[in-house]
Amino acid sequence: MFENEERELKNLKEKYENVDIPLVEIDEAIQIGFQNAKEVMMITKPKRKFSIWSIIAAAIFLFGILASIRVSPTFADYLTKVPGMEKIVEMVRVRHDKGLLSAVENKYAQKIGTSQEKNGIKVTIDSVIADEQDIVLFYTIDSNSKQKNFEIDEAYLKPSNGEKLPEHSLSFGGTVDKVKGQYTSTVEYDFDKPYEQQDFNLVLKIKNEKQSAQFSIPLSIKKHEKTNQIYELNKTVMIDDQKIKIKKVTIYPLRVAVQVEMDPSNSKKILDFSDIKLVDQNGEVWSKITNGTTAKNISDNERIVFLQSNYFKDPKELYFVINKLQAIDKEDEYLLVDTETQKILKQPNGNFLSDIVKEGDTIFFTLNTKKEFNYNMIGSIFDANGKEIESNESYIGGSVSNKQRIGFKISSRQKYMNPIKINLVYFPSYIKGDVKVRVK
Amino acid sequence: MEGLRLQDHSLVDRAIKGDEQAFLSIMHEHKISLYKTALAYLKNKDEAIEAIQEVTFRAYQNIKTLREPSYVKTWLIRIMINYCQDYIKKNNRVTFDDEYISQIGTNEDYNYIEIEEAMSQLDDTQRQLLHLKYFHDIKIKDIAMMWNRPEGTVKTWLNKALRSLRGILEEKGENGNV
Repeated sequence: MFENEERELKNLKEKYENVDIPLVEIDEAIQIGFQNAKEVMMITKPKRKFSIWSIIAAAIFLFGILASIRVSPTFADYLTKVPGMEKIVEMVRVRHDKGLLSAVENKYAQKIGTSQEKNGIKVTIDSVIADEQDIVLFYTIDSNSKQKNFEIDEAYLKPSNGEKLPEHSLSFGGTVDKVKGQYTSTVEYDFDKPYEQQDFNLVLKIKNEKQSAQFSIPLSIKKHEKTNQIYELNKTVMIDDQKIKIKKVTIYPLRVAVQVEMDPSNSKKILDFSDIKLVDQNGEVWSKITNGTTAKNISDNERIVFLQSNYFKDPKELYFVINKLQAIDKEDEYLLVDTETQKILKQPNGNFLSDIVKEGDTIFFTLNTKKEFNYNMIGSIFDANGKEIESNESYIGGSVSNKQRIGFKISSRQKYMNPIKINLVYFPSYIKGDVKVRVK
Repeated sequence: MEGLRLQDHSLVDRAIKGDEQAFLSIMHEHKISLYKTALAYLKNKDEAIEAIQEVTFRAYQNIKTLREPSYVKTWLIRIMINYCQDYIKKNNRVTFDDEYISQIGTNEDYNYIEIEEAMSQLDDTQRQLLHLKYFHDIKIKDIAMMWNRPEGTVKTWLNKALRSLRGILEEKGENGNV
């Protein structure tokens, strides 16, 4: 019936019988993938000491679903005239943040190019993009030897004058693993108020299984004028009977901050603003920020969510749109498990979790969802006596056949009484709506 | 042959229980099939190698969810195909670069490009099905087990997939003749 097609398919298969197989590189890739799975998959929770506000775990380098970003012809022309700029644009593009790219187009990127070399490892600060309350720094690690699998232990900016930085949240990426032995990554600051310092050292501690190294590289950041635009809205909207007040929208060159307040009488707890965006009069869309700090909690009911900036575009009309929120019933916002008998005693509706199992110090679950869920749902943990249990490592596996393995580790020196209660900070349960609020 | 199967089986069982060496042996046993799959989808050597790295990562993380050890190869290939399909969607492109063309065939011989392009126009399930069946010679029965569907359903899908492929190829032929 389909002899021709089947023959073509067989021919195609034969074609592939004869391709070169780069065995050395394949073996290396298996080794790296294996090492990464064993070691890097333990996700360390964000360090709280950097901010009085709790920082919502940033999904660093989980790629957004945005379409590719185009560069205007005049800008493309400018790029070819300034050496090194193309690389910077490439690094920005990977982040899928068109606000950031437009900041680069408007000369907000400062090329740095300073580097330091130790034990055959070279770290170069490529560039900095900054406004009065934000710093995004890009750097590259080059290794001349066969050394691979670098992990970033610490990465931060230290003001040269010894002063302390204002309150901020800090995020730094894991390395973007290129098979070629070059790694690029970022350090990012979101300040709660404008920072005054201009001269810094980038302090970077990296390690792999063989060695560790610490770098300290000086850089200066050019000051930017005060630029933000503030829109006080104080409008209350309803989604699935949940009241949310849109208090204030602040437009910075590098991001847009939307301050929202959930009504305390709501029956559901809003965990995440999953589908929100800014739209202008022509339907152009600016989505959420997916790399770096994505949101900040001010209090239990109040939070700031960040979107890509349209500062340079300066549209005539601007709307804030909410379509989908991650939410669970307030009486359901925790998980009750017995780690001894390995049983889930209570979980939110939908039976998303199954197969609890304890392996060593780590407690694993299977999460059953149709779509990969890349949020770390494990919040504070308390034992039967209400004593808080510390968990410094948690784990999210990739999705295979609609199943994901997730887990968290409780060090064995901590004694606790079962059952334990785990507060859920994210969960794959959603409410939907169609809310549009005019910003300007 | 029976002895070999049994041995394979216990290797997979050991890997599921967390034996790292057993896991690596399985990866090495199937790496060439995985690489060819990646190349068929991504058409680029470097990206195919990156895919191997990512699939190793995902496979190790998830091997405990593998219910039926005898389908480990199909399971790995599915992880690879899912990765490639996501990758293509994210990057929104199908490319045929020169290096790839010189790797896979001579310049006079472009027939395979036509069929590859046609394959890339199929929907994800149809393409995956044809790939498993004709590229890796995996039996309909095994695919049906893996997908948890009756064999008859998978056969119907296969027919539909081949019909779609024919449709795309014929359309191309007609356009070519105008």
